[in-house]
Amino acid sequence: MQANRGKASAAAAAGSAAQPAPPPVRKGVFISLYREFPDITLPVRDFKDYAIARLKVLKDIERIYSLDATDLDASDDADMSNYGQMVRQREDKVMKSLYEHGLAVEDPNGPLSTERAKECDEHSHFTLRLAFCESSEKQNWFVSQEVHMLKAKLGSSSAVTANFLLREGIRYHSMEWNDIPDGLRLDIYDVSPGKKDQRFYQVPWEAAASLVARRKVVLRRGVAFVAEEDLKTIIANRYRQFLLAQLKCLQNSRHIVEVHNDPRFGSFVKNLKNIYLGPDPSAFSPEEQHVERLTPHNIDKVVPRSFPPCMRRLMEGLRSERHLKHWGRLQIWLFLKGAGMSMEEELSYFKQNMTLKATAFDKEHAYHIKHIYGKVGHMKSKPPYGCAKLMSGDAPPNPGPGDYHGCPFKHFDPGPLSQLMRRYNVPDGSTKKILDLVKGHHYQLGCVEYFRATHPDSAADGVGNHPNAFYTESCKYWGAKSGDGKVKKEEGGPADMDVDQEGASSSSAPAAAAAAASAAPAGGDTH
Amino acid sequence: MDESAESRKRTHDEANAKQEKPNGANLRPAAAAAAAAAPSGGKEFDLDLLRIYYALLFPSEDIIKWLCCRHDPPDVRRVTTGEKIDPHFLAKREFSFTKYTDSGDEIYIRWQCYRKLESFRNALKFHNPVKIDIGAIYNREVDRKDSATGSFEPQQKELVFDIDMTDYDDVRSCCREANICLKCWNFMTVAVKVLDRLLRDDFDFHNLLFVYSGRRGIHCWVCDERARTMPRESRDAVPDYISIITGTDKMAKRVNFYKRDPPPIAKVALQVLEDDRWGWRKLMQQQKWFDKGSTHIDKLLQYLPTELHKELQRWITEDKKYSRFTSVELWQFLRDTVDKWGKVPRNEALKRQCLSAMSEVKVAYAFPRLDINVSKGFNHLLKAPFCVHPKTGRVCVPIDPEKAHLFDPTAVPTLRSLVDEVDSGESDAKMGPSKTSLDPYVDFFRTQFLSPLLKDTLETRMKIARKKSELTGDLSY
Ligand code: SF4
Ligand SMILES: [Zn+2]
Repeated sequence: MQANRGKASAAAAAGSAAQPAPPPVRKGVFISLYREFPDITLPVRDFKDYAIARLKVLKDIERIYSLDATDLDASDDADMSNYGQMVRQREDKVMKSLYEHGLAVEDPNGPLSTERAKECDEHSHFTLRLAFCESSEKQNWFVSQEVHMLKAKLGSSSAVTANFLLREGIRYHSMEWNDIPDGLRLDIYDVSPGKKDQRFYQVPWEAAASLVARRKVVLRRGVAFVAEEDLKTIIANRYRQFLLAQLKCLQNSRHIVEVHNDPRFGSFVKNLKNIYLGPDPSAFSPEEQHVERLTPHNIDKVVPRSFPPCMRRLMEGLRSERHLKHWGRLQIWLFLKGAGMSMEEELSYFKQNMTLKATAFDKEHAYHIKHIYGKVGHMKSKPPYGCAKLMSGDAPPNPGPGDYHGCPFKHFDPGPLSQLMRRYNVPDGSTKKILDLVKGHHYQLGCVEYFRATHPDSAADGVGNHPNAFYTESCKYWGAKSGDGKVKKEEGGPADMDVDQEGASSSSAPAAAAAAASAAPAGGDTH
Repeated sequence: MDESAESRKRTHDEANAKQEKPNGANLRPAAAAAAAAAPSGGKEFDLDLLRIYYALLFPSEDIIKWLCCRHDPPDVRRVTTGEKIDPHFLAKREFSFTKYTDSGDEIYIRWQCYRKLESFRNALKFHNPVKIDIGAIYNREVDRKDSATGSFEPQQKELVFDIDMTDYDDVRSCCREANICLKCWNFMTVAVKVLDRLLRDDFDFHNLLFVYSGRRGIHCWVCDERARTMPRESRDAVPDYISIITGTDKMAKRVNFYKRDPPPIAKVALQVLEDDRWGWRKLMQQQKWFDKGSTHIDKLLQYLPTELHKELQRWITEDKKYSRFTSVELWQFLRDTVDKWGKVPRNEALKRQCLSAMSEVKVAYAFPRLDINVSKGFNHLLKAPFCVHPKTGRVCVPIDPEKAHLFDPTAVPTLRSLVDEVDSGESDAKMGPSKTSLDPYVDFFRTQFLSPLLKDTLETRMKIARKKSELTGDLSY
């Protein structure tokens, strides 16, 4: 299986003759690191249309990569090919979005010219830089979608990638598989058996940081040995660092103020950035969804009924130990805040439920809780963690001994997980399904299955993306069941900031700008 | 460690509010009150002794030279080589102090900075800090943090690692929590050796400083110019690369090689563990994980492939039913069994699987356990070398990785012992410090770490300058 994969990609790299000779550049797609500003003047209308089009693509990208954007770092063979397939599928979807919104040309005989697509792609990139340079949070969001876009454009042909590197003037030493010294070759094989027979490039390890972080490359004296198929990652790293540096520059430049004050497009640019952020945690806050707010009075009833497993476990930990470690506290505090507990309630609840003298509590934890509610420190309320973040293993780190934080679907082995499911009264059939999903690294879908098992006949909307979405969805469900009137009918969804909602892609700039202006600013947790 | 990060955040604002100006009024009563109120870990630590330590023994000049990276302040001597230096460099570095107030409260003051060695010395005298932390280098002087417009951001920082013995609690049989002994210190020996090899051989870093944290762990400072100036992404990649123990305690295996040969990074650790002076055999003898009746045997069984699992269980319940066995004997049994199987050619795959599982066990039990949050990003401050730990009175001395196995944390100089040495020697404060048992450590810091660091830094800068003139226009490194 692995050998096959190796051969297949080697053939692709050599430009197999079976297909109509894939050219080393991709027709109709503008691949660029955007190092130079295009020197053309544009009508304001185009300027705005282009920017909106790109923003839509970026929002699509965010959506495409958000579902199970968890650890795909699969290690056995079956998962490996699954993983490759998943990557390709996603990239295809991104390309579709690019075609749809006129940033690339799919059909050379169609109405859209390559020049126009290029103009749109190039211009919109620089416009959005203006809109997203403002804070590091926005910068990060923009950069990560842009990087996905670049990767999708490069596609799966390593010839396109290698050619792109050359065009950008980036040169690395490389070796054929058979020319690699024996000891080194053995190590490379151990790290990535699937990449056997490829050409390997010698790259300074810093340039391959993301591969290094996942131990996907062999290091020797500061040099990373990177397989041809991974060159794309190198370009992506470079692009990420370059773009981030550019945004930082822009952020600190005086010209940005001029841009924002420009009567023709200043307010348009300023508003663009407000429509970007992904699922806004406030969108499933209890007020927004008209469900019962969590309080210290109803919490005991609500925990087993409506808390997602991750939070239920934390509550159990709190009960049994009357203490939680740092990341556990943070995870549950943020969640409870998101579920509608007031700061005063949270303070008194934890004061009562932790074994600590009241004074010690005030000294150690009260400040922190207030911080979370934005009452001290930076004065900004901190959004609750989403599932992807809880699973990321990076702030919060993976749980260690004595920790209760994290996501059980991700952090438990099958044994303990099925015990947990049994304890939570999940029927055996569902548990089996959950274990299968988890085995395929679909942790969030495991959570959806759990929700379905514990909420028969429910749609499980939004579950698996955010623990607070799980919570409100569950409250809605039980509210409807008991018909206690707490749940009003949903009125066309929350005030969604999704640009797609205002219609076809040909929307005019002013309308879009107006939509942008009316959209709620989001302070979401993007990762 | 997260606890301290948290309290750091909490005290930040308070600290700013309480921040004092060094105008020195009623210093004596303050010190006396503080000395009385401070938690005293026996007689080894005392604020008056600490004052003497800073005045006579603490190597301020070496520390400042180190932190300046050749951008020395005017009052530090240096050989000029015509490099361009940044005269404000030292002032861009954040220092912070933990100290006791007059009323005996422990406070934490952040955002301190100095323009000269002299002012650093004065600050030590004035604050008499129980702990000095070193932070990042910012884009402008730390005391102009809020004054100028534009963001105030960290730009450089040594890459640091923190290894704490409490993270080994599930594999330590001898001690728990804050306690350590020479047996469990062996984990630190292994950690130093493995980290040293990985940082040098894999990442090509050379200017490494290992320091005893004064109580139950070690710190490692990677000070190469390249390391200090790394962007965030590369910086974070190093601890990620090194933390191979990813499993949680709810998983049967904390390390998984998926039946294949161990990855290169594990091989390095396995090599280090071959040495009987500190390696796997010694660890097993010290910690007795797999002695008869130990709970770790169940954990070990979970790692093994079914065949070996069964065989070991048979050995325990039948062969050894009535006799005792040690960890070393058990391990030998596993190795013999696998060797025996390996002799039959068709068992090749099985043998590989078994060896892979046994390597997993070694790595899971003995590989360095990093607190990666300390290493990531620019925000974490770390205690300076040569501080005195207030609970133990021990000085945070450098450790030579080559001789890490000879290091005895219980035998390092303490505040009390050093001051006694000063008192008994015919020292004259004007003549500088007399000979004390701290000297070999300062000497090591100076000759084995600082001077190569300064030399290498110069070389790197020259190389970069040369490269820049050759390859103008490249946005790369
Ligand atoms: S998938 Fe999300 S909501 Fe469900 S348990 Fe995991 S972290 Fe919690
Ligand atoms: Zn011990």
